[in-house]
Amino acid sequence: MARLGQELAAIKNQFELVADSSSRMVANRIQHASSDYWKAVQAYSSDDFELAKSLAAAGLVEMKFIQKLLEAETTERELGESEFFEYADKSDHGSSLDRVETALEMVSVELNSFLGDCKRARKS
Amino acid sequence: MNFISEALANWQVERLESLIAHARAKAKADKLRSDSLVSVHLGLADEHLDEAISAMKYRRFDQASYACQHGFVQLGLAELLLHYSAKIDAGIETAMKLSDQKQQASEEQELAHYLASSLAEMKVAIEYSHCNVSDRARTVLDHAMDYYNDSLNSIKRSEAEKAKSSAQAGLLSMLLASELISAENQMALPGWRGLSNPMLVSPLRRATELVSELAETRHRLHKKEAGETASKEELDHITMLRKHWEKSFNDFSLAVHSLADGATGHAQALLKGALRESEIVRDLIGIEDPDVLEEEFLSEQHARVPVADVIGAIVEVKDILVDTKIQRKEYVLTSLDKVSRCYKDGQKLFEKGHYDKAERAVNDALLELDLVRQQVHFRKQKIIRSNANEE
Repeated sequence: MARLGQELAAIKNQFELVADSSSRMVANRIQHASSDYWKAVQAYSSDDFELAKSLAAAGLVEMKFIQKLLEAETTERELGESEFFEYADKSDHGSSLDRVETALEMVSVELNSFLGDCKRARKS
Repeated sequence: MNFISEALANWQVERLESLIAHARAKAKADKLRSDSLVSVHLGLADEHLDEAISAMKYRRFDQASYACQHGFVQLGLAELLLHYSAKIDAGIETAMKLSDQKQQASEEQELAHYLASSLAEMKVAIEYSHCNVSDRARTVLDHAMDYYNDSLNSIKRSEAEKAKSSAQAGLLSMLLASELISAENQMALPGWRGLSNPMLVSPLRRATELVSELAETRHRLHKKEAGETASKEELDHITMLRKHWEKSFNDFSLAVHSLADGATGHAQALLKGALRESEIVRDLIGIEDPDVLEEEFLSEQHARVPVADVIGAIVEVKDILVDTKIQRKEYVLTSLDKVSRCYKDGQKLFEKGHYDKAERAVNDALLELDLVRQQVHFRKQKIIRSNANEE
């Protein structure tokens, strides 16, 4: 858990320098990782060592991911383009609802097309 | 007895106070990289110390002792952070390496890490090459991201098997996305090393074979669609190819979804169906005999080709909504089920030639869909307002 804390602190320091030009996904993941770290601390101080261990294990995987994302964005920034490719992230509620709206729009398009087909088939 | 409790609490408070002061002095002297986090832990230890001192005043020794124990936990974490940071800052990384060796990642953690690395590598490859990413490939990539999040959440809940299967599903999605993007852009993605040996991480037989076929046949299908097709037979041919390809793709997506849910047997069965459809596409691409084509088309003349995958979209929406705060969630999920049911009924009725009834079923689906869209829109506006207020 100490290792996780140390890595989280290092990533936060690294992110602070590029926060203005970084992607929403990285900011969102750091926020969640931070929240998970404190949940692990809470579990540890409540003697729930199993939970603390699981949260710390997940946290360490996530730290490596964020580190790689930051490296990827640094490369893109150094090329002077900063056109980030963002994955949709379920944990980002704003972005999730955007995806829901897009998916519902697709459903609506198909239903309206189907309705048109029914009407045409009925008339023919 | 009370005397012993008082003496113990007194000793704990004094000890905590002195250790906090010592740790603070060390953090200040070292000016370490992680000092902000150390300070937070020391601040929390201080809060527990204040709580203990306050409890002592009211002679609540047990409460004071309990607060001190929490203070020691926070102090312990602060000291561990100081210890690691000092080792690293002094250039002695062996402590970390030793710690890594002692704490070998479990299989599910390794798989989740492998998936995370693939997602990051894919991001670099797309950004660097400026290649086109079709909506289809994007959806597959987003699913891979969802599977990564699921795997991570399962690790948090100590559900090793679920974490492993989610990561495997994510890796299969990454494999399909990479093949689709490469085929769409007719190039190897720069910097993308691929998945070194997907069979090692996928329990589904012939999954990689199907992925390659899906990408290849889709590319050939696109070429056919983009070509100058004039005759009705050719158009019918393409429509039928598209239908079989979509079926194969949907079966593959469902197989990956089942794999993530731990239903490997069901996933393998779906994969078999997907392979069958894919073989039909491959064979039909080579068929030039219009008589055979017409015969097949006539047998399916009532089946219409959907312009979007409604069932897949509804499954995706439901997956997202389960983790989202939204008013009357149960009601919304039920409405989505109804949309799905009405749509399927409509398809069956249409195939049987009952166009009136099919139209009614689709109208019902549209009405339910409107209700869902209103709820989602309402929730989104609320988030936007709340974000604006925060700013």
